[in-house]
Amino acid sequence: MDALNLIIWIILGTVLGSVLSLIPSPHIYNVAGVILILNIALEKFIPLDVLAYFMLAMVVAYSIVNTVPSIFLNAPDDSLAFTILPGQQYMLMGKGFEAAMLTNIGCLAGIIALILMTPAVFTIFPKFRIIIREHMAWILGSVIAFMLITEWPKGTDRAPTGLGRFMEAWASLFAGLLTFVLAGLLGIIIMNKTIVPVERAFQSIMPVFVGIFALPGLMQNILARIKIPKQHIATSVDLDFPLFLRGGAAGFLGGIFAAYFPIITGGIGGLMAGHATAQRDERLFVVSQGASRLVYYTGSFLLAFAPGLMLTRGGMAWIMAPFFTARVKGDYYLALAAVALAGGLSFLLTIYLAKWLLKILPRINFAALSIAVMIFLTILVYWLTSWTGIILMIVATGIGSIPVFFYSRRMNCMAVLLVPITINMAGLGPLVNRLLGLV
Amino acid sequence: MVDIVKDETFCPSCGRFVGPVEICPYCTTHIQKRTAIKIYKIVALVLAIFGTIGVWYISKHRDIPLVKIDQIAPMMNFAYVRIHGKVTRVYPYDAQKHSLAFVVNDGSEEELRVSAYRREAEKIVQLNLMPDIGDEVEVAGSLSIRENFRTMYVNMAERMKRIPPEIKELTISELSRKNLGDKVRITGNVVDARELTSGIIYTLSDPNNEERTVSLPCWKRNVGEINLAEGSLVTVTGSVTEYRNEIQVTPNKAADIVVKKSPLSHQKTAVIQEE
Repeated sequence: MDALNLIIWIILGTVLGSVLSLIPSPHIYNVAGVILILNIALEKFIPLDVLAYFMLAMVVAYSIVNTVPSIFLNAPDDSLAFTILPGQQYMLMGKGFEAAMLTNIGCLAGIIALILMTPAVFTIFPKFRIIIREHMAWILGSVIAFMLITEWPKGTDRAPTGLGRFMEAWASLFAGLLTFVLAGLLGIIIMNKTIVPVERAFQSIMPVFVGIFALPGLMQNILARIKIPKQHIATSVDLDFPLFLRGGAAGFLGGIFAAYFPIITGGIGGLMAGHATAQRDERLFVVSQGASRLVYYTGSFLLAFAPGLMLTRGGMAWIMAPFFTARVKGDYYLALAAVALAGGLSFLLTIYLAKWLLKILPRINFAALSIAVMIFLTILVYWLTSWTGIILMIVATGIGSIPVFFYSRRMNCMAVLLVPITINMAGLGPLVNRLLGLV
Repeated sequence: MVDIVKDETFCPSCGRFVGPVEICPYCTTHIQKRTAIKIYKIVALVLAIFGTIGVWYISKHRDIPLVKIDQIAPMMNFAYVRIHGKVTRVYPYDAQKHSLAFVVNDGSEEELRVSAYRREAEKIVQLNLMPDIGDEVEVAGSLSIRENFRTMYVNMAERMKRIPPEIKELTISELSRKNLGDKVRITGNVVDARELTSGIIYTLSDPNNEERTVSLPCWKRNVGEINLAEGSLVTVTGSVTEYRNEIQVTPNKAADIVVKKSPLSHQKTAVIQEE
C-alpha cells in the first residue's frame, strides 16, 4: 500500500463524506452501500487495500459534519436524539453556529479520547470481550428495560376532564411503547425472513432505517414549514477547559459503550451516560453529545481494524466485513492516523461549511429540499432493494412517524435491532420464530 | 421572529418551538394544528400497525430462496437462503463448544460450511438431522461472508432436511471413481495401519482378491479412538471420497465399522472404543 495513495484516498473520503453529510437525512451507511456496488461494477476503482480507510474517513466526516444540517435543517438520526433539542434552542436564539461549533469541539474531544484509548484496545478489550460474551443477552435486556422504564407519562394537566388529563399524560408513553413493540416485531421479521432480494441482503436493514429515521423527519419539515431566524456567526464559544473535559469524558463513556456493545447506538449510549454522569449544563450536554456521536460512529468501525479482537460493531463494520480483515496491529495504527487526519480536516471543513450553509440558508426552500431528498431516498431504496424494500420503507415510515408526531422518544425505534438481537442472544430466536410462524 | 410565532410549530403565546404537539410543553397553551398534521398522525398509526401485520403475512408465506453455492457473493452477506447438496465433510457435535458443522457441495464449483451453535446444534442432534458424509441435505440459514471465509448459520433446525443415500453393497474390487460421493458397504481384511495425529488410516484388501486394496481413513473427530488389529475382517459403511487420486471409504461414526473376525479370537466382536 502506497502511503501517498492512502493519504489521497483518506482526504477524498473526508471531502466526499463532508459534502454528502450536508444533505439532510441520507445516512453515510446508505451512501457506503452505493459506493461498494459502484466499486464492484467499476472493477475496483477504489483499490481494495485502501477501501476500508476511505470508508473510515467518510464515517469520521459524517459524524462531525452531519451535526450542521441536524441543527439547521432538522434531520437527526438516533445518535442525535438528544442534541436536537438544545441544538434547536440555540438555533432559535440565533446561536446555531455556536451550537455546531460546541458539538464540533465535542467531536475533537472524541478523537483525542479514541487515540488515548489505544492501549486498552489490545489489553483490556479482548479480556473484557471474553468476560461479557456469555452475558450479552441480559446486558442488552437491561438496556431495553432502562429505555422503557425511563419513559414516563407527560402532560400539562390542563385538560378539562380527568379522563382527558389521563389520556393526554399517557398518550406519549403509549406512543413510545407502541413504537417499541412495532419496531421490535418488524425487526424480528426482517432479521429472520426478510422480503428484500437475497442479492442485496447486505442492505436489507437499509429501507427500514430510511423509513424509521429519515423520512418522518423530512415529512415533518414539509408539514411544519420551519423558518430559520437570523443566525449570528460567533468568533468564540462559551466553553472553558473543565467543561470541555467533563463533556468529552461523559460523551466518550456513552460513545464507547455504544461502540463496544452490539446494537447499542450513540443515542442509547448517550442516554445512559447522561444519567450516569448527571449532566445539567446545556453546553456540557452539547459537547458530550458531539463526543459520544464521534466515538460511537468512528470507534465502532475502528474496532474492526484491531486484529484478533473479533468485534464487528456498527453498520459500517458489517458492510465492510466481506471486504476487509485486519491482520496486524499496524492496520489499527494506520486507521488511527486516518481518523486523526480525517477528523482534523472535517473539523476545519465544518467551520467553513456551516458558514456557507448559513449564507445560503435564507434562500433554501425547506419543503422543496425535503421533497427532493425524499425522492432521492426512495429511488435509492428501490435501486438497492427493489419494490420489496419500498414496502418495508413505507411501513417503517409509519413506525418512525409515531414518535415524531406523538412527541415520544425516537430512540424506541432502535427496537428494530435491539429486540431481535437480544432474543437471539438469549437463545429464544427459534422459539419466537415458531410462535410467529416464520419457520 | 414574527413569522415564526405565527407558524403552528411555535407556541403563539411564548414563541418557543413546540413541533407537532398540541399543547405547549412550556406554557401549556393550546396550539391550533392544521388538518394535515392530524391526518398524518392517523395515517402513521394505521400504516405502522397494519403495515407491520402485512409484512409479517408476506414473510410468513414467502419461500426461502434456493441458491447455488458458487453464486454466493459478498453483497449476499446476512441473506437468509437455502442450499441443497451433498455433505463432503462433517464436524460432529462438540459438547464443549456447543457446536457442529458440515460442508456441503451442491455440484457447483465451490463448497459451503454450515454451522450450528447451542440449542440449534443440540436440536439437530436430537432430531437425528446431523448428516453423514455423502448424505443429501437441504438446509436454510443466514450467510456470513468475510474477506476469506463464508459460512451459513443454521438458526432453525426444523428447516433442515436430511436425505440419507441408498447404501450400495460392493466388493473392494468393484469400487471405482464412478462411486465418488456414494455411500457403500464393503468388507475387507486390515492389511496396514498408519497413525496420524488426527486419526488412523487403515488399508483394507478384498478377501477374494488380495491385490485390490482401499484406504479407510478413521478420523478421531468422526469415529473416536479405534484399534483394528491387522488381519481382522471388517465390514465398513462409509462414503466414497478421493485423496491424491486414490479412492477411499470414509466412515462417519464408530458404529459404521463392524469387526467380523478378529485374528486372535476368531470371534465376532467389536473392539471399537468410542471417545
